[in-house]
Amino acid sequence: MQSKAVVSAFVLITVPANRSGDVVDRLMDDYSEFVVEAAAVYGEADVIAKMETPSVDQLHQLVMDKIQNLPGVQVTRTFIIIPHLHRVR
Amino acid sequence: MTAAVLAALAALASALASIVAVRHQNRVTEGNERKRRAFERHLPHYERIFVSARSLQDSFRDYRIVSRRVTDRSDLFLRQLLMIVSKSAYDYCYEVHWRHNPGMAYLDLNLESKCLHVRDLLMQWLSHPRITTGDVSSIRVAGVYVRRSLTDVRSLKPGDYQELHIERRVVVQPFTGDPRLLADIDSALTAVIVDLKAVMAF
Repeated sequence: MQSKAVVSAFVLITVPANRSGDVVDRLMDDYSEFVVEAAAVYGEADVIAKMETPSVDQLHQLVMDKIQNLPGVQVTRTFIIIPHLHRVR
Repeated sequence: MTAAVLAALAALASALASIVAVRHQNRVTEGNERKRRAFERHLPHYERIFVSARSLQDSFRDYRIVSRRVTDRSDLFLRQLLMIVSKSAYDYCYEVHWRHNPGMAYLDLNLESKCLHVRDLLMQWLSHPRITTGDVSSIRVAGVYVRRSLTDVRSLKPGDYQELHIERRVVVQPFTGDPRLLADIDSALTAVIVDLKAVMAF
């Protein structure tokens, strides 16, 4: 059995008012392969998405070339999850 | 007898010369008067051209200085200066168009050519694309944000940063055309301003 190495990250996205829903939909529809979950939130960021990619290069590519180019996306802040400190219930 | 005729002729010549001199003087005076009336009538129009040329030169110089010194081309101040100089250039081009400024029709032909020459140079400068939208990236390391190029970011590994911050910004690109054009615009504007000063000091 081969274990699949995965890089996980939380990406906080800033979008103009009333565009959060569109961005959440685009993330889940267009990049379902990498976006595990996405939600519009109250607070400092407008959308938070959790992503999983096979490598950090692909994560950077996804954030810089795809998500950053989604209509309305102004700022992305990427936080890579430390694997051995990541717990999911 | 001959002496009397000569004296009479001399007197006549003198009188004729006086008449010619007086008429010439009157013509010059009338000409000056006409010029003065035309000048007074169009002074506000000349002032408008002068103000627009002077404002343009000031804003153009400010933009050139800041554009040379700035390290971050997405600097908002640089963008504001570009907007100001673009607006000033538009105002100048508007003011030197005879349809919008009747004073242009009464300007000396040489000065009119100088004004229009500046406009042509400005058109060249304005025709270069200058604003682009681009991503500016930085990483947070030990709590401090450090600017990194997008190319550099691609080679980073997990643990190289606490946070990757990418922001879409409007970037003012440096002028890529002939650098002499900028100096030409400045010197052409100076020539227009000097000549307009002379006209307004009439």
